[in-house]
Amino acid sequence: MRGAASPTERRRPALFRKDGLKMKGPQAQSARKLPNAWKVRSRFIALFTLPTFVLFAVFVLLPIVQGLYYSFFQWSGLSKDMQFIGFDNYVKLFHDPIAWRALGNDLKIALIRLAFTLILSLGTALILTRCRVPGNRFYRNVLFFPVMLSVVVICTIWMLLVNPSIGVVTRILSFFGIASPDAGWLGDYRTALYTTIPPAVWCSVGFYMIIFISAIESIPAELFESAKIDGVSHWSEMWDIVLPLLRPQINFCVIYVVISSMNGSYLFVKLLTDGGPNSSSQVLGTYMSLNGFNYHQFGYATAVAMLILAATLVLSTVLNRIFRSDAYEF
Amino acid sequence: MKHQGTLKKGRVSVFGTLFMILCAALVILPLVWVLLTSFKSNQDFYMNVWGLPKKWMWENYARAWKRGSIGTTAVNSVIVTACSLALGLVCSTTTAYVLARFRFRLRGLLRGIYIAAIMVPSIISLIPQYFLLMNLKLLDSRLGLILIYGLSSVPFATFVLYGFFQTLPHEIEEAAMIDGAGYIKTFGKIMLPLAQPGIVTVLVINFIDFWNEYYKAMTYISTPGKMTIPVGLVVFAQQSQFRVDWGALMASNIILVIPAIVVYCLFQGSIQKGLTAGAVKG
Repeated sequence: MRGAASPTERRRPALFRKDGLKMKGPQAQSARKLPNAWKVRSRFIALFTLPTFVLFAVFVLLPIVQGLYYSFFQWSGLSKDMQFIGFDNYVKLFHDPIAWRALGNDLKIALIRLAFTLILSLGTALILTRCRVPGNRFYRNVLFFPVMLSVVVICTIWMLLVNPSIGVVTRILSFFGIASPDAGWLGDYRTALYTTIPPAVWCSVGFYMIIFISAIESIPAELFESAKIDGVSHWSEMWDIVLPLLRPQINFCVIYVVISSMNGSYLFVKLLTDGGPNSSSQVLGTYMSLNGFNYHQFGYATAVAMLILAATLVLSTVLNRIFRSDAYEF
Repeated sequence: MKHQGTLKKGRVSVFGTLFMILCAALVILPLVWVLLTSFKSNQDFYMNVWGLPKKWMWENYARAWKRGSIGTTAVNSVIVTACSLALGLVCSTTTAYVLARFRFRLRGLLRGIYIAAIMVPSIISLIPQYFLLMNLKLLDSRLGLILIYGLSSVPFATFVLYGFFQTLPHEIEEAAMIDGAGYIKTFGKIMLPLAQPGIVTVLVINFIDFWNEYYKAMTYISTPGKMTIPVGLVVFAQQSQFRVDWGALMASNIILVIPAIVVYCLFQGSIQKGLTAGAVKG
């Protein structure tokens, strides 16, 4: 057959190509012999993509469009009675201090999570690759494990750890002179929001650590060897060699932590504080379901949902612009 | 090219070792504490919160299974997770295969839609999906949850498998076609087995998602007999707000975690590789 084709050239069987019938070769000949070969091919493509797409459109795409549609109505969700009010929900959203606070809280959580996750995952990855630590594998597996855990379990544990009367974290902190608020760390309006962050960091550090480790391990040994010959110190090796080479992974980490925090911090907030006390730890996700399922203002709730979508898209675009980078080639 | 891998020679780093021990302790100790608490009686729990159980109360697990109705929810969770995995897998392997191996007119559009859908946060469809399920009479049913879980997983799973199918050599497919195998046979008998590592990755990622998901399940399911474990646990914790049965509550937590541990032990390598490889190119 076409034995001389270079390995980089993309080769496809004739029937898999748009111009398959014009192809030379055994497949094309057999295709020409069968007049309905194209029909069979088209039917196969339809069979494999259409049912999935229809279901996907109904259960995933349609709801997104519907969300946008609902946001222009005043609707209790209890009856079919929907009143078109144009952009009123968005105007209300714009003047709603709690919505702004929720957005601010989302951003605060994202930033704090980013700082801690980045430092801890990079730190552990560097230690596990550039320092000699006995039981290396063990630490990798242990630190990665929380990624598998349910938010429900993580939050149950954390709630007990910061419990004002029995929590061990509370006790350790008070041992160092940091007294817990009377209502506990989760019950005080000044600390509630920040107390929802540690469990989120706890369960995601391992994920980014593994990403960094595999990136560091793919750095050619020659680089480190020549650095060693040149007498480069440990710190300079880290700052001038490893970290610049990790740019793509660090960029990914920044974008991914921020976006997944924007789209996931409500899972922790819902269980730990449910937005309270007095809406001090409200985030957009919890505020949306509060307006919908508790206040029965589904139009307004979907407007909040659209704010989440807009914030996510804007943030990911901005972050992509800032952190777009060229990977170094070895 | 020689790669550095992990440092094997040289002095043991004292600071590094101590720091890693601290980190590992921060991960392990809370979990060990839950395990210990799950064997304590309530009195034992209050008297000695952080110590070993005085008497190992295995009946906590029996109580959690029956009274905390974790048994029913566990069965529901298994059904929902298994069916969602199957649905998601069937949908994503077929779509990914066709997108990766065939050129046809709407291919670009279809691929674009699935890739764009990865970016959309799932929470924004919480409310519209609620009313969709209501209109389809699927609210408060396991089937509704399965459809939502399974189909929501399609974009990302398709994305991962698409990359996988693209790397497979075309000669095998060609040979199968020449040997007279039809499209479906080529797909089922030849391409699917070759894509197995990708399929394992997708299954594991989806398993973690489906098994642990609680927000949508909590919103869509209201009958206790149809709840999944995470929801059952939240309800259990809320019900017992004033007189908490700590032993049974922690036992339920352990029951929820066990499958995750089993899956982790079985697929450790492919989980770490799969979860991170899909994320980073380079």
